[in-house]
Amino acid sequence: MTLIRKGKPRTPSAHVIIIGVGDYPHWPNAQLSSPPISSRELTDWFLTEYNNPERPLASLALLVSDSNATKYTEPGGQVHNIRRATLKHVSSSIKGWIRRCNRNSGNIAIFFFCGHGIMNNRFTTLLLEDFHKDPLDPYRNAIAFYRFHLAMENCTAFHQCFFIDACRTPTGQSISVMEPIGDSIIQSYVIPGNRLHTIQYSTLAGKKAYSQPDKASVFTEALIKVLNGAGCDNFQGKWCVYSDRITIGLNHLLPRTRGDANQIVNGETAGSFPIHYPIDKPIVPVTIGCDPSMANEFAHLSFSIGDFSEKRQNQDPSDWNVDLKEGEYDFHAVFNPPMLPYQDSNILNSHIRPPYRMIRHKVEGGGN
Amino acid sequence: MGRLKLSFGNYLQGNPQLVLVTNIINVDDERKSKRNLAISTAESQDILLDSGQYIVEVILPSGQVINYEIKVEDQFDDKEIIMHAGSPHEWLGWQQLLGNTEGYMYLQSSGETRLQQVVGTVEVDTPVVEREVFLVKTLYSIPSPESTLQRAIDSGSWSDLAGRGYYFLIPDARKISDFNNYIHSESNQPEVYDRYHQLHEVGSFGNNAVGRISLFVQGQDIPTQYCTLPVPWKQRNGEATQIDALIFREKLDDKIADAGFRLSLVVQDRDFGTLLGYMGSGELSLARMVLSNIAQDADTTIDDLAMEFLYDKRKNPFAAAAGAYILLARESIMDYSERKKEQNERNRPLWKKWISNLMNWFQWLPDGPVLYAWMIMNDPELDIPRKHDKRTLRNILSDNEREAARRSLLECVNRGLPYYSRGVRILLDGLVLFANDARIAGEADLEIESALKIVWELASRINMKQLFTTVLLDR
Repeated sequence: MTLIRKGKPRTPSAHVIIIGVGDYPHWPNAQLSSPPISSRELTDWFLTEYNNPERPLASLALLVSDSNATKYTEPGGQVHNIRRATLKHVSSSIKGWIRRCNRNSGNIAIFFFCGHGIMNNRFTTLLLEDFHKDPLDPYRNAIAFYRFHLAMENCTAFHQCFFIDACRTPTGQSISVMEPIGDSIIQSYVIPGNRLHTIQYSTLAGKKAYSQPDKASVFTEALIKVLNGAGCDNFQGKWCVYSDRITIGLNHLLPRTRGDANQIVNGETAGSFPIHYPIDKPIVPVTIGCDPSMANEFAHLSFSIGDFSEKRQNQDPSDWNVDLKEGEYDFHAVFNPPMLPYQDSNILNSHIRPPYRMIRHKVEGGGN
Repeated sequence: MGRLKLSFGNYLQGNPQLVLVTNIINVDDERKSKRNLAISTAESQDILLDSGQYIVEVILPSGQVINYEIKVEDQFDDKEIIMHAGSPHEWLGWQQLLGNTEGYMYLQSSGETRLQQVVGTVEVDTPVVEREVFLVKTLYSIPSPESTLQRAIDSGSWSDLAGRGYYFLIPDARKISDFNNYIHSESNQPEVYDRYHQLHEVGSFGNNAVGRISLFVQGQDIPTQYCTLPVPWKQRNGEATQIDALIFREKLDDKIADAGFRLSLVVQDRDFGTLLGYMGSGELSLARMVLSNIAQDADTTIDDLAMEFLYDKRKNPFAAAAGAYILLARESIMDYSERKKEQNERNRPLWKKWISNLMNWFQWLPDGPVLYAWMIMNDPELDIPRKHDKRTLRNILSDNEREAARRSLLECVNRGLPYYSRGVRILLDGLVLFANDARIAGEADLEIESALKIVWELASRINMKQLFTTVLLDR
């Protein structure tokens, strides 16, 4: 297994496993560029940003199937050889991860998968590198996620997060198979219903999740933004990403990241628990535009906070998406030259805070 | 101290007293925030606020969040916010609020309908969708003769498909023709529709509901779907409430088992409606907030109210089952110490008895036994600190308790399709657990394995995101 961090403390800790599969050598035309990038970027995030004094990061396992790289370089420069995400490696890594998680019931277990996925009937299956290796048993090298998730009741960690960044589209071949296809890795034998957990599927059942060429996937990009702020609340006095705020943030960010609404998160959360306390102020996705939106292309949009201000580079018919640190901002829409019937608008002292905000300049009929 | 008047701007048929969970957050001082308020959609509500800047955050059952920002200057400062959920049509108000038009977003290329968060009280209009019939379909209501049910039960054979067809999933769904003989069909045209939605008023059935009544949706090139109607659904005032069925076309896609068509039910219960919505979207903590608002007595706790529904099971066993799901779900997300504390403060044995009664008094209700099995398996009296190798069925439950839970799961399978999707999920989890337990002990439980095979099939045809169980019959 590839352990980027190897801690096994008996005190409450975070134990993370990240799996990214972009290379499917036995499955023609199935290569993906995003999963290796997504898994590395999320690993970077955990190593540099993750902050939870109650459950500090103790271990992080990374498995990546990449067509052209077998190493992971930490943001600090340390280089690690990483294992490929075959069933054999994934199975042993998951079991090692569970053993570490089992050392304290106060642990938080975090599972992330990015790669191809399918639905057989209503069950999600995550496809590993050696999927389709054996033509006589093509679905063998995959994770039957429903069974795996149920079996994670066996795991002692009371807090569990599952992020599934994969398509959930059906395949004609699997349609006649009733039980979930794939390997559950472990078998459930513990009474269910005794854990706090969240599952965030990157897309609805039956739908696609999207890659971005040579970038992290849409979901991973949105997830990192959620962890950086859009999943935050501060009802206990300090900003924190809570399990039950993640879906709210992702619901907003997935369509925004894609530019359309063809990917909608499917979240299931049982219980609210803290995941991450941002060290700095949370970063809030803000969408700025005019009402009516057809005025966007004539408006010079800008915002300011204190001495800092930023203008939109180009006038554009679309809304302007920015990510702003929590705080009090002024927003401006200026029509220069004048463009009747629109008139300038200023929204002053607007407090921007998670999960996200929509700033609409009313530019007809008296403005703001 | 100023005053904020909060009201709901969308039309909802019947002007129901639905409640929406709302946070009013003071951006500078959390102590001045008011969180987890339950705001009624039927009447405006005045909230006193200290001076300061606030974000009003309304969390809809659909998962959508609507934000507003206000500044309260002083004690004479009155503010008003009219909340808008941005339904594409007035007639879809309930459905939109409850998240049944979730995939509607797919169909819009403009961000206007998707991003309905507004600053102040400005409403973002949604475009009117072109009216167009997209589907010729038929609804069938099927009264269930008791003799048919009895014959199916007596036979005890899963192969008696025609007999038990509309009580449970037909393992070979292609044999729908086998039980067409039992169908009393009644073709319905939708009350209202657009190119993406058809809304059917299924009715309230009052006291005329005999046995279980199923609703089928069929159409040319459309895979048949069905659900069992939770009727008659009696409101707290005793009136039977209207049930609506929404047929929603997400995207025509032959590769998807349901071809992109989805059937969902809405129970227009004035009190219980949004609670069901939050429950359906998996937001059980928010469902509990709604319960708190339904409580008329200020001293009534949410748990008291859930228990009240459970206690009132003779009036509305469906609501009782929902209350039981919420009560048990709440327990399952507590850690050991919380559960022990709760056990001391609450009279769990009392509602434990009620769940037992729910199972025994309503023998047609499949949710009763599955709730009972779950309750046995999660009884805090039996709990021991979380340790993975200690929480097995054999370690936690006595032989009698294990057998009672096992029998209840099998009884659920015998009774038929649970009304709530959550029941199917619990049934599946429970059967998998018992099957594995026996396999680990080296003694395969054939009865459980047989039931599990059918429930795998059932679960594979159900969208767990729906509140009420809707089965895709053929594909």
